[in-house]
Amino acid sequence: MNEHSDPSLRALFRAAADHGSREAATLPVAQVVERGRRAHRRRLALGTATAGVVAVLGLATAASLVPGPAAGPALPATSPSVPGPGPSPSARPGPPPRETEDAAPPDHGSATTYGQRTRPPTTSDRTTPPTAPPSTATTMATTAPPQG
Amino acid sequence: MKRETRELPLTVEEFEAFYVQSVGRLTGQLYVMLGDLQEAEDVVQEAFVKAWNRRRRLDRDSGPEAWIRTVAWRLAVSRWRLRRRTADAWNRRSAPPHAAGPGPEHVVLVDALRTLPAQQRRTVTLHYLCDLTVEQIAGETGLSASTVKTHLGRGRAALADRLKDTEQEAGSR
Repeated sequence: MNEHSDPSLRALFRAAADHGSREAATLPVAQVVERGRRAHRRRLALGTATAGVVAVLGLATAASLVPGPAAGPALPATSPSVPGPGPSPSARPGPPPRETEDAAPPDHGSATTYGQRTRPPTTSDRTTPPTAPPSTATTMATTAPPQG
Repeated sequence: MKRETRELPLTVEEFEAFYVQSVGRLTGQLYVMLGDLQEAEDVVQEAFVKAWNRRRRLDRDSGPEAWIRTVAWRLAVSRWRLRRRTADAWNRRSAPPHAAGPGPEHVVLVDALRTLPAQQRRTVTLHYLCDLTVEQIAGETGLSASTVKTHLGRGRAALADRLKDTEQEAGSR
Protein backbone atom coordinates (compact mmCIF):
# COMPACT_ATOMS: atom_id res chain seq x y z
CA MET A 1 0.00 0.00 0.00
CA ASN A 2 1.09 3.55 -0.64
CA GLU A 3 0.97 4.63 2.94
CA HIS A 4 4.40 3.16 3.54
CA SER A 5 5.82 5.89 1.31
CA ASP A 6 3.98 8.63 3.15
CA PRO A 7 6.26 9.53 6.05
CA SER A 8 4.70 12.93 6.50
CA LEU A 9 1.43 11.37 7.56
CA ARG A 10 3.23 9.17 10.04
CA ALA A 11 5.08 12.17 11.36
CA LEU A 12 1.79 13.97 11.88
CA PHE A 13 0.40 11.03 13.77
CA ARG A 14 3.45 10.83 16.00
CA ALA A 15 3.38 14.55 16.69
CA ALA A 16 -0.26 14.34 17.66
CA ALA A 17 0.36 11.39 19.96
CA ASP A 18 3.35 13.07 21.59
CA HIS A 19 1.23 16.13 22.21
CA GLY A 20 -1.40 13.97 23.90
CA SER A 21 1.21 12.19 26.00
CA ARG A 22 2.72 15.44 27.20
CA GLU A 23 -0.59 17.05 28.04
CA ALA A 24 -2.16 14.02 29.66
CA ALA A 25 -2.64 14.00 33.42
CA THR A 26 -2.01 10.47 34.60
CA LEU A 27 -2.64 9.07 38.02
CA PRO A 28 0.21 7.79 40.16
CA VAL A 29 0.65 4.05 39.86
CA ALA A 30 -0.21 3.55 43.53
CA GLN A 31 -3.66 5.00 42.95
CA VAL A 32 -4.24 2.75 39.98
CA VAL A 33 -3.22 -0.31 42.00
CA GLU A 34 -5.46 0.73 44.87
CA ARG A 35 -8.42 1.23 42.55
CA GLY A 36 -7.76 -2.18 41.06
CA ARG A 37 -7.73 -3.79 44.50
CA ARG A 38 -10.95 -2.03 45.47
CA ALA A 39 -12.64 -3.21 42.30
CA HIS A 40 -11.48 -6.74 43.05
CA ARG A 41 -12.85 -6.59 46.59
CA ARG A 42 -16.18 -5.26 45.29
CA ARG A 43 -16.38 -8.10 42.81
CA LEU A 44 -15.65 -10.66 45.50
CA ALA A 45 -18.28 -9.21 47.82
CA LEU A 46 -20.85 -9.15 45.05
CA GLY A 47 -20.04 -12.73 44.12
CA THR A 48 -20.35 -13.88 47.71
CA ALA A 49 -23.66 -12.10 48.17
CA THR A 50 -25.00 -13.53 44.95
CA ALA A 51 -23.94 -17.03 45.93
CA GLY A 52 -25.66 -16.61 49.30
CA VAL A 53 -28.89 -15.45 47.72
CA VAL A 54 -28.83 -18.32 45.27
CA ALA A 55 -28.23 -20.80 48.08
CA VAL A 56 -31.09 -19.43 50.15
CA LEU A 57 -33.45 -19.49 47.20
CA GLY A 58 -32.42 -23.03 46.40
CA LEU A 59 -33.06 -24.20 49.93
CA ALA A 60 -36.43 -22.48 49.99
CA THR A 61 -37.39 -24.07 46.71
CA ALA A 62 -36.30 -27.49 47.89
CA ALA A 63 -38.24 -27.08 51.12
CA SER A 64 -41.39 -26.12 49.26
CA LEU A 65 -41.12 -29.17 47.04
CA VAL A 66 -40.82 -31.64 49.91
CA PRO A 67 -44.29 -33.00 50.71
CA GLY A 68 -45.43 -32.25 54.22
CA PRO A 69 -47.43 -34.46 56.60
CA ALA A 70 -50.99 -35.42 55.57
CA ALA A 71 -53.58 -32.90 56.56
CA GLY A 72 -56.46 -35.27 57.27
CA PRO A 73 -56.83 -38.33 59.48
CA ALA A 74 -55.43 -41.61 58.34
CA LEU A 75 -57.99 -43.71 56.54
CA PRO A 76 -58.31 -47.44 57.17
CA ALA A 77 -56.99 -49.77 54.59
CA THR A 78 -60.44 -51.03 53.85
CA SER A 79 -63.03 -48.40 53.99
CA PRO A 80 -66.65 -49.22 54.42
CA SER A 81 -68.76 -48.91 51.37
CA VAL A 82 -71.11 -46.03 51.37
CA PRO A 83 -74.41 -46.19 49.58
CA GLY A 84 -74.17 -43.72 46.81
CA PRO A 85 -76.18 -42.68 43.88
CA GLY A 86 -76.26 -45.15 41.11
CA PRO A 87 -78.55 -47.14 38.90
CA SER A 88 -80.92 -49.63 40.43
CA PRO A 89 -79.78 -53.18 40.36
CA SER A 90 -82.56 -54.14 37.95
CA ALA A 91 -81.34 -51.68 35.41
CA ARG A 92 -77.71 -52.56 35.70
CA PRO A 93 -76.41 -56.04 35.08
CA GLY A 94 -73.90 -56.86 37.73
CA PRO A 95 -71.21 -59.48 38.07
CA PRO A 96 -71.97 -63.04 39.12
CA PRO A 97 -73.35 -62.95 42.60
CA ARG A 98 -71.54 -64.20 45.62
CA GLU A 99 -72.94 -64.95 48.99
CA THR A 100 -70.58 -62.66 50.68
CA GLU A 101 -71.25 -59.93 48.24
CA ASP A 102 -74.20 -58.61 50.06
CA ALA A 103 -73.12 -55.60 51.93
CA ALA A 104 -75.70 -55.97 54.59
CA PRO A 105 -74.81 -58.65 57.10
CA PRO A 106 -77.39 -61.19 58.10
CA ASP A 107 -78.98 -59.21 60.79
CA HIS A 108 -81.28 -61.34 62.75
CA GLY A 109 -83.42 -58.55 63.95
CA SER A 110 -83.69 -56.41 60.98
CA ALA A 111 -85.42 -56.88 57.72
CA THR A 112 -83.53 -56.05 54.68
CA THR A 113 -85.77 -55.20 51.85
CA TYR A 114 -85.02 -55.53 48.26
CA GLY A 115 -82.61 -52.98 46.99
CA GLN A 116 -82.27 -51.17 50.24
CA ARG A 117 -79.78 -51.27 52.96
CA THR A 118 -80.69 -49.97 56.31
CA ARG A 119 -77.25 -50.04 57.81
CA PRO A 120 -73.89 -50.04 56.20
CA PRO A 121 -71.85 -52.99 57.24
CA THR A 122 -69.03 -52.55 59.62
CA THR A 123 -65.53 -53.48 58.77
CA SER A 124 -65.54 -56.48 61.14
CA ASP A 125 -68.65 -57.90 59.55
CA ARG A 126 -67.19 -58.03 56.15
CA THR A 127 -64.96 -60.58 54.66
CA THR A 128 -64.66 -59.26 51.14
CA PRO A 129 -65.27 -55.83 49.73
CA PRO A 130 -68.45 -55.38 47.72
CA THR A 131 -68.16 -55.14 44.03
CA ALA A 132 -71.64 -54.28 42.89
CA PRO A 133 -75.16 -54.23 44.14
CA PRO A 134 -76.54 -57.75 44.07
CA SER A 135 -79.20 -58.84 41.63
CA THR A 136 -82.79 -59.42 42.56
CA ALA A 137 -82.49 -63.18 42.95
CA THR A 138 -79.44 -62.85 45.05
CA THR A 139 -80.98 -60.29 47.28
CA MET A 140 -84.04 -62.30 47.93
CA ALA A 141 -81.93 -65.37 48.54
CA THR A 142 -79.42 -63.78 50.82
CA THR A 143 -81.58 -61.36 52.69
CA ALA A 144 -84.17 -63.77 53.72
CA PRO A 145 -84.20 -63.90 57.44
CA PRO A 146 -83.14 -67.11 58.97
CA GLN A 147 -85.86 -69.40 60.00
CA GLY A 148 -86.31 -70.36 63.43
CA MET B 1 6.09 -5.32 20.22
CA LYS B 2 7.13 -8.91 20.53
CA ARG B 3 7.35 -10.51 23.91
CA GLU B 4 7.92 -13.97 25.08
CA THR B 5 4.78 -15.63 26.23
CA ARG B 6 5.18 -16.12 29.93
CA GLU B 7 3.28 -18.49 32.06
CA LEU B 8 3.63 -16.43 35.19
CA PRO B 9 1.45 -13.39 35.77
CA LEU B 10 2.95 -9.97 36.22
CA THR B 11 4.10 -9.22 39.69
CA VAL B 12 3.13 -6.01 41.38
CA GLU B 13 6.49 -4.49 40.59
CA GLU B 14 6.31 -5.55 36.96
CA PHE B 15 2.82 -4.13 36.60
CA GLU B 16 3.91 -0.84 38.11
CA ALA B 17 6.89 -0.68 35.78
CA PHE B 18 4.68 -1.45 32.81
CA TYR B 19 2.27 1.30 33.84
CA VAL B 20 4.94 3.94 34.25
CA GLN B 21 6.53 2.97 30.97
CA SER B 22 3.44 2.89 28.80
CA VAL B 23 0.66 5.02 30.24
CA GLY B 24 1.80 8.19 28.49
CA ARG B 25 2.27 6.46 25.17
CA LEU B 26 -1.09 4.73 25.35
CA THR B 27 -2.84 7.92 26.36
CA GLY B 28 -1.36 9.65 23.32
CA GLN B 29 -2.53 6.84 21.06
CA LEU B 30 -6.03 6.96 22.45
CA TYR B 31 -6.03 10.73 22.17
CA VAL B 32 -5.40 10.42 18.44
CA MET B 33 -8.07 7.72 18.12
CA LEU B 34 -10.69 9.53 20.14
CA GLY B 35 -9.88 13.14 19.46
CA ASP B 36 -10.48 14.03 23.08
CA LEU B 37 -7.65 14.16 25.60
CA GLN B 38 -9.84 13.96 28.69
CA GLU B 39 -11.66 10.97 27.29
CA ALA B 40 -8.36 9.30 26.47
CA GLU B 41 -7.08 9.83 30.00
CA ASP B 42 -10.22 8.38 31.53
CA VAL B 43 -10.44 5.27 29.42
CA VAL B 44 -6.72 4.48 29.65
CA GLN B 45 -6.80 4.79 33.43
CA GLU B 46 -9.87 2.61 33.62
CA ALA B 47 -8.23 0.03 31.37
CA PHE B 48 -5.20 -0.12 33.66
CA VAL B 49 -7.47 -0.60 36.65
CA LYS B 50 -9.05 -3.55 34.88
CA ALA B 51 -5.63 -4.81 33.89
CA TRP B 52 -4.59 -4.95 37.53
CA ASN B 53 -7.12 -7.70 38.17
CA ARG B 54 -6.25 -9.49 34.95
CA ARG B 55 -2.51 -9.45 35.12
CA ARG B 56 -2.29 -12.98 33.73
CA ARG B 57 -3.86 -11.87 30.47
CA LEU B 58 -1.16 -9.32 29.93
CA ASP B 59 1.25 -12.08 29.03
CA ARG B 60 -0.70 -13.44 26.16
CA ASP B 61 0.45 -13.35 22.57
CA SER B 62 -1.03 -9.96 21.73
CA GLY B 63 1.00 -8.14 24.37
CA PRO B 64 -0.11 -6.02 27.27
CA GLU B 65 -0.19 -2.70 25.41
CA ALA B 66 -2.56 -4.09 22.80
CA TRP B 67 -4.79 -5.38 25.59
CA ILE B 68 -4.88 -1.97 27.27
CA ARG B 69 -5.50 -0.23 23.97
CA THR B 70 -8.36 -2.56 23.05
CA VAL B 71 -10.02 -2.29 26.44
CA ALA B 72 -9.67 1.49 26.43
CA TRP B 73 -11.23 1.69 22.98
CA ARG B 74 -14.16 -0.47 24.04
CA LEU B 75 -14.71 1.67 27.10
CA ALA B 76 -14.80 4.73 24.90
CA VAL B 77 -17.30 3.10 22.55
CA SER B 78 -19.51 2.25 25.52
CA ARG B 79 -19.41 5.85 26.63
CA TRP B 80 -20.33 7.07 23.18
CA ARG B 81 -23.32 4.79 23.06
CA LEU B 82 -24.53 6.08 26.39
CA ARG B 83 -24.17 9.65 25.29
CA ARG B 84 -25.85 9.05 21.97
CA ARG B 85 -29.28 9.49 23.49
CA THR B 86 -28.54 12.99 24.56
CA ALA B 87 -27.83 16.02 22.45
CA ASP B 88 -24.11 15.48 23.21
CA ALA B 89 -23.42 13.69 19.91
CA TRP B 90 -19.97 12.54 18.88
CA ASN B 91 -19.39 15.20 16.26
CA ARG B 92 -20.24 18.07 18.54
CA ARG B 93 -18.42 16.63 21.50
CA SER B 94 -15.36 15.93 19.41
CA ALA B 95 -14.45 19.62 19.41
CA PRO B 96 -11.76 20.01 22.07
CA PRO B 97 -12.37 22.72 24.64
CA HIS B 98 -8.88 24.13 24.23
CA ALA B 99 -8.79 24.05 20.44
CA ALA B 100 -7.33 27.14 18.85
CA GLY B 101 -7.78 28.42 15.30
CA PRO B 102 -5.06 27.42 12.86
CA GLY B 103 -3.08 25.51 15.40
CA PRO B 104 -0.24 23.07 14.98
CA GLU B 105 -0.51 20.48 12.29
CA HIS B 106 -1.04 17.65 14.69
CA VAL B 107 -4.10 19.41 16.04
CA VAL B 108 -5.31 19.73 12.47
CA LEU B 109 -4.76 16.00 12.04
CA VAL B 110 -6.79 15.21 15.14
CA ASP B 111 -9.57 17.46 13.92
CA ALA B 112 -9.50 15.73 10.55
CA LEU B 113 -9.55 12.32 12.21
CA ARG B 114 -12.68 13.25 14.11
CA THR B 115 -14.57 13.54 10.88
CA LEU B 116 -13.86 9.92 10.02
CA PRO B 117 -16.00 6.97 11.11
CA ALA B 118 -14.80 5.40 14.35
CA GLN B 119 -13.41 2.21 12.85
CA GLN B 120 -11.56 4.09 10.12
CA ARG B 121 -10.09 6.39 12.70
CA ARG B 122 -8.97 3.46 14.82
CA THR B 123 -7.56 1.54 11.88
CA VAL B 124 -5.45 4.38 10.46
CA THR B 125 -4.18 5.21 13.95
CA LEU B 126 -3.11 1.64 14.60
CA HIS B 127 -1.32 1.59 11.28
CA TYR B 128 0.35 5.02 11.14
CA LEU B 129 0.96 5.55 14.82
CA CYS B 130 1.30 2.08 16.38
CA ASP B 131 3.05 0.63 13.29
CA LEU B 132 0.85 -2.43 13.16
CA THR B 133 0.53 -4.51 10.03
CA VAL B 134 -2.79 -5.34 8.43
CA GLU B 135 -2.77 -8.76 10.07
CA GLN B 136 -1.96 -7.31 13.48
CA ILE B 137 -4.72 -4.73 13.11
CA ALA B 138 -7.14 -7.47 12.12
CA GLY B 139 -6.16 -9.46 15.20
CA GLU B 140 -6.60 -6.53 17.55
CA THR B 141 -9.84 -5.21 16.12
CA GLY B 142 -11.51 -8.46 15.17
CA LEU B 143 -12.01 -7.26 11.62
CA SER B 144 -11.03 -9.20 8.55
CA ALA B 145 -7.87 -8.29 6.68
CA SER B 146 -9.83 -7.11 3.68
CA THR B 147 -11.95 -4.85 5.85
CA VAL B 148 -8.83 -3.42 7.44
CA LYS B 149 -7.40 -2.66 4.03
CA THR B 150 -10.64 -0.99 3.01
CA HIS B 151 -10.65 1.17 6.12
CA LEU B 152 -7.01 2.11 5.58
CA GLY B 153 -7.60 3.09 1.97
CA ARG B 154 -10.69 5.13 2.64
CA GLY B 155 -9.28 6.69 5.77
CA ARG B 156 -6.09 7.73 4.05
CA ALA B 157 -8.00 9.27 1.17
CA ALA B 158 -10.34 11.14 3.48
CA LEU B 159 -7.47 12.47 5.57
CA ALA B 160 -5.64 13.61 2.49
CA ASP B 161 -8.70 15.57 1.34
CA ARG B 162 -9.30 17.17 4.69
CA LEU B 163 -5.69 18.06 5.32
CA LYS B 164 -5.46 19.58 1.89
CA ASP B 165 -8.64 21.59 2.49
CA THR B 166 -7.23 22.80 5.80
CA GLU B 167 -4.00 23.89 4.15
CA GLN B 168 -5.91 25.78 1.52
CA GLU B 169 -8.03 27.54 4.14
CA ALA B 170 -4.96 28.45 6.14
CA GLY B 171 -3.23 29.76 3.03
CA SER B 172 -6.16 31.88 1.99
CA ARG B 173 -6.24 33.73 5.32
